[in-house]
Amino acid sequence: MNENKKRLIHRIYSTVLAAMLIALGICFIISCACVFSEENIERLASEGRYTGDGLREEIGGALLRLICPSAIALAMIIGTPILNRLLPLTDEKLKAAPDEDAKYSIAKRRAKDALYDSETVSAIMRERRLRFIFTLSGIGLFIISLIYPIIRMLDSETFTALGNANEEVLAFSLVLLAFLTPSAVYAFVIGILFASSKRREGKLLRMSAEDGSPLPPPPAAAVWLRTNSALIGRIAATAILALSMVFIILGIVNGGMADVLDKAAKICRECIGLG
Amino acid sequence: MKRILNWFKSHIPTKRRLIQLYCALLFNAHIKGFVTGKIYQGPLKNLCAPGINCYSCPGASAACPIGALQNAFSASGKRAPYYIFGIILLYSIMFGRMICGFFCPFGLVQDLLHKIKTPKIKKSRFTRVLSCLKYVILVFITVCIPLLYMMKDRGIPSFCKYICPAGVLEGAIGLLSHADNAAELLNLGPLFVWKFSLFVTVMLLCVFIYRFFCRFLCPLGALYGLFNRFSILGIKLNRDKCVDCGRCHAKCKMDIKHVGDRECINCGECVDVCPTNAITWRGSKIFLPPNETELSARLERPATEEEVAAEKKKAERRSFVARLVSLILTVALLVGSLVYYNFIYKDPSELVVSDSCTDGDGDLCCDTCGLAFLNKDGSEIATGNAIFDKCIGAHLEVLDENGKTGDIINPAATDGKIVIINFWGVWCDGCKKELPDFNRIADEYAGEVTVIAIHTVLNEDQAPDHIKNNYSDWDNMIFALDTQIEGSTADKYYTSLGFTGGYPVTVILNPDGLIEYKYASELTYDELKRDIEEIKSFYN
Repeated sequence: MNENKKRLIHRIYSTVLAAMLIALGICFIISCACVFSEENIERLASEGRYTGDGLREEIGGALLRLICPSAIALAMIIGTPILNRLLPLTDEKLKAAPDEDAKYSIAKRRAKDALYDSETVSAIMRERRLRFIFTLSGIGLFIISLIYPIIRMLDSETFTALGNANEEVLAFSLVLLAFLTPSAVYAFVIGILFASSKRREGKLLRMSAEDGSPLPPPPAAAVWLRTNSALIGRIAATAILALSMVFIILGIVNGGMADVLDKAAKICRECIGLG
Repeated sequence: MKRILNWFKSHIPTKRRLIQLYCALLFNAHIKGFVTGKIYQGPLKNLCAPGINCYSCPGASAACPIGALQNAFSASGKRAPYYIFGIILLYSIMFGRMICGFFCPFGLVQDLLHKIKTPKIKKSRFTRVLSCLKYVILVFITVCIPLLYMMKDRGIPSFCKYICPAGVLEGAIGLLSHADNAAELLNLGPLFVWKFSLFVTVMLLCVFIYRFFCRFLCPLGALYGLFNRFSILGIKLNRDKCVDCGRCHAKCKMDIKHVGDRECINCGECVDVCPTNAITWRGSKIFLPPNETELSARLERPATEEEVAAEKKKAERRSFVARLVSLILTVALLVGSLVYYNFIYKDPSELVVSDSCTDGDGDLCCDTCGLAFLNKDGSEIATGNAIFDKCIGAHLEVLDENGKTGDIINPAATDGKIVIINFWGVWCDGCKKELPDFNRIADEYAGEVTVIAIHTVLNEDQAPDHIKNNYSDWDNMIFALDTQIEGSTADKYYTSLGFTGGYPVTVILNPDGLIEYKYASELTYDELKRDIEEIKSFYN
């Protein structure tokens, strides 16, 4: 059997398996919703079966109904190695990068340090500045769109002492979603502009690589940073390590460690989603 | 035979997979928890596992860092969260996102799911942008919501409560699938349905998208990623040797821009594909022999062949010794953990000795003492441990808004009334949600029903203030304090009644002082009223 036919069989197999898994997942979600729905709970309560054992029976019944499709999906998963053995595919190897691409990549890296020596490099830096403006404006709009939701969160009337936390969080999430939608739309628009700027930069980089024009030396600060990056990293790591030790000791002294133990040993069920 | 051997040889797990399996076993070493249905409540839960591993899992041997972080934020009004900050900083700077690649049990689950043969969705610019979602979850859901609710005197670990799929896998499925925990199923409702749906969706997406949870949802990975470039261990890229061929980028399934950035989980799969060996492990240099140039520079003269060979041998010996020592230590750690968690550690129910129903002079103060282990029809009450079927009395200190009053209460001394005993805590949001219903019952059935709300030892110092601010006009409710079992974190009276670690729980005694109902779940006013009316109808 030729390679293309084998690939087709593998693709069909994997697509059928994917569809089975998605259908199974949907069935599991629907079964869970049905078992713990208000109507079902009322029915169980009226039959006197709304107990732990009664619910276990309901869950067991729901799982039994799903046993057949689950078994088929499991068999297909286990059958994958058998399929690979019967119809082996040649491994896909990483293709070696052609020299032109490697040269283009090096030019791209070197262009980061360039001063505005040639027109090509200036054009590259212009595109990068444009993308930087896009990114900053997107982040700025995102932060601004968060102001109202945060003010609403801090509004003391929104939270009552013993109100329903789930509904409060849901309401807040919807408000947040409404306010984040404009920034999502803006992100989509600038994403398109971003992509076209990247394409223009790509063309300019290829021109720069073909030019082969010598680039000026990078700024002294950039050189110092690059040569000492290992040292800076080591100093930062040592400082953070020392800080973490200090925090741990302070935490042991102020009782934070005991808190971790207590909260991990005593479970608030609602707090882990069992509610 | 040879074919079978060859098959096994070609399917030996990689070192990374072995480390993942080792860590999954180490962080869930309390295997007897799956048999008994009880979580580990011992002192080693002071420590946090580096990866996501829900502490409600019966096998969990350590606390979850994200859960502990949120609980610390919830309690930050009373105590600065230095400890958990220090732990997370320590893990971040030591390992960075190597934890995601090697140590996290949930990462292993995702890796295994991704092996299922289905069409896969590859990374793209869109997934790179979407990978920022975990930072939004970190800031808003993991940090902001617990802090804001802390200001309202409520503890809500919102990531654990609304999102974490590891909690469903380990807590809900792991803990509640045990027959002894069947009563806890009564807690489940719309919140659980949401979390279960999210769990199934995440698991499905992990089949199609490599490490879906790690890339887009995990706040712990987001935190560790910030320190990836500075971490002591992990992958590093030598920019001088790198020729930007892009093979590492093509091989990597995460949304990296370059090797070692915030999205890199330091799995090391790019190390083998790099044509110029520009990608190495940090700290690996001590095991590599110096080449001729480096040796000559060190010796300040040209190095001979014998000297180069000798250096190579030294490096090999160093590497062998390091490997042997680390293997011995890791095996010892795992074996030691398994022995401790499963054989040495005693569950609190094995440690507690129930109080007898006597006062200080040895006189019986409970009319039903000695009979309390039987139901009214003479059958034994299944309280989970036969030792405590003898007596359900206790001596508990009464609490009010000013603190301990000095009075002692024995819940089993019913005085001919129905007694409702509820166990709660100020740190438990579900407990505080149901208390008003208990107060309503106490007011409505004053004289017929005694309602006692027993606060756990955890955060008992905060209970008087909480009572003062919220329950000061609850005249018919009695608040009391539980005591701690010696040598354990568990509460004595709570454990003696057979409960296993979850809150809130309620026990209802009939007028004879016998346990009529026992709930390991939240209760509503209607449910309490129904039970009281049923008991009353039997006795009238």
